[in-house]
Amino acid sequence: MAIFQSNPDQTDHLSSLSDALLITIISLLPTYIAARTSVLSRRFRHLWKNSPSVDLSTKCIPDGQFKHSTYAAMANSSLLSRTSSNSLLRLHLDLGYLSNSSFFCSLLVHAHALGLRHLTIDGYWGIVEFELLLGFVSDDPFPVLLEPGKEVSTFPNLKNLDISICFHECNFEAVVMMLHHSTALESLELQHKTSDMLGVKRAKRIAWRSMLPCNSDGSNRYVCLKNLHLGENREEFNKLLNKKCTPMRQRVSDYPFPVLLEPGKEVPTFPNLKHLDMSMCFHKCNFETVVTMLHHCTTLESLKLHHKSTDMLGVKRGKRNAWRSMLPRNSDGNNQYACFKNLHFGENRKEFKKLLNKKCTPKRQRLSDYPFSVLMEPGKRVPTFPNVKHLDVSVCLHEYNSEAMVTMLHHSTALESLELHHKQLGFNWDKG
Amino acid sequence: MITLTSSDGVQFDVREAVAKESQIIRDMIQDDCVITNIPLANVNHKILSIVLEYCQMHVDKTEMEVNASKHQTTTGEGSSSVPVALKVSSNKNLNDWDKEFINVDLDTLYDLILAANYLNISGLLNLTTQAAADIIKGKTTEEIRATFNIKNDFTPEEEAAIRKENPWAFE
Repeated sequence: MAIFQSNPDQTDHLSSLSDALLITIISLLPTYIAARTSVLSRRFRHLWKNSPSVDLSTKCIPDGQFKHSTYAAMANSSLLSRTSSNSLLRLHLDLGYLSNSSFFCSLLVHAHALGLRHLTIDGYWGIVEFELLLGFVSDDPFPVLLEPGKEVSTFPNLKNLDISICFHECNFEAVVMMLHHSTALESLELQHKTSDMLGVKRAKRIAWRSMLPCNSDGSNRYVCLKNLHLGENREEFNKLLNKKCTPMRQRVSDYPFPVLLEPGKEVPTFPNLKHLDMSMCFHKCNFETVVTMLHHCTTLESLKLHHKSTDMLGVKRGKRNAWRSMLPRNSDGNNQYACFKNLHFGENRKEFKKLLNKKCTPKRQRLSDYPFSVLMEPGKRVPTFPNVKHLDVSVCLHEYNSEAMVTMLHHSTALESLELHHKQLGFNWDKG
Repeated sequence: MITLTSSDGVQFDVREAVAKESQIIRDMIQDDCVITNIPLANVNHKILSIVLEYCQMHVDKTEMEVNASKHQTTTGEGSSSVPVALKVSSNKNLNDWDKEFINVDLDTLYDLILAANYLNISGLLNLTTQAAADIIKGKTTEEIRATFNIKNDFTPEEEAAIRKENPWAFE
């Protein structure tokens, strides 16, 4: 590129270009540089925010100079705070800086809502060595597109997709699932990127090989498909979509089925619910959640539960037992479904009660250390309230909670009245 | 042949295919097939000659490719890798040519952006705006202001406040 001299006549041609042209120029810049134009002059103040492109790539940034938190702040103000009045056509993400996949998903979902047409994902992991030095523990030597078990985002409007990451099994599967949902896709470019595998055991390296199908050049490093909206070009694309890979995602997840509620989470109550239909895998963990939920649904009139077993390929035979239906056998001797109607009439509640009373291993409780709500998790700092004057607490004051209470009271120097109510034993105890 | 007249009255005779690189001229020819003289009120002869050089080059390259692939199909069983390789090399040549072509001073670049926008030549518009973006890319705000003679009309306090809005851009 030429070395550009300042104009001798000192005219500012750039600022005299139309907004549309300036925005076009700004849209070709990575977002962190585009944002810098906001301080050039008043003319440029808000232009960058109207760019149809958000380019969060970090290619021009020297390794390690950009922190994860900085990247998150950049994604936050350039993408997440964007409103639907300001549509987004192109998005470029760098997976290496998106340490957690739920943040990545939220970016994708938001981008999709803004009408995204062209998505590029880079798997450049610039700071991998830095983190290895610090003893950073990651199961995967490459950035993972989506953690196993997470739902894949769908992009029914996406037209162009470029992904340059390590297409190992886990990522490949996530991408294939994403492609299945991207029905309007016109062009696709996938590029396998191996980064440094120092420190990865030889035997393990094979797990990180490219899963892309071989193209006509015999290379499995890249896939480039154009004009997919024309039927005849879809053959290779379909080959990609149908490529089988070991169901690694399932092996990795503890649960081969979606879990209604993670153990330890509180079950929501629906005191006004009248009808409930559920069709899912009623394995132990889910069954227990449902039963707890039913206990709280006192006005229920009809209930339909249908056990749905999905493909259990890849789950060890010995383990399959854990995912069997826990529904009680009905009059047909079948434990695949339970259907109750008119539960508000007493005589119909007999079978329902059988369901409610069905015992299952108290797995959820084993997972939580405390049978009561805990005021504060151990190790957290107790908050101080120097200005609180009145305090009423009604919790189980077992040893652990009362310690948190006392620490809190020590810090509440302005306290004037206090009422503690031990929930289990039910005695009041006032203190002036 | 089509005659294009620049804003300062200079006439350029070009092949229809070359003129048609411009979407606006393509539309005019489509509307009125007997049109032979098109006045371009917003482009002077200096810029128009540069624009036409770009169009000429791109039309020639495309025609060369079409001929090459036609030659392939007429000779029959030639392996399909040859035209691909040819295409790749000619694309590379064209990219190199573009790079050399856009190596102009800022005033010309600015005029080319306006002309490409006005004549609606998407390839040239991409090339020129990308060149402008590349100039901005490697520079600090001070350097950008100096390069383009942009007058900073913020007070230092205002500028500091804007920097604070997006601190990640200035790390």
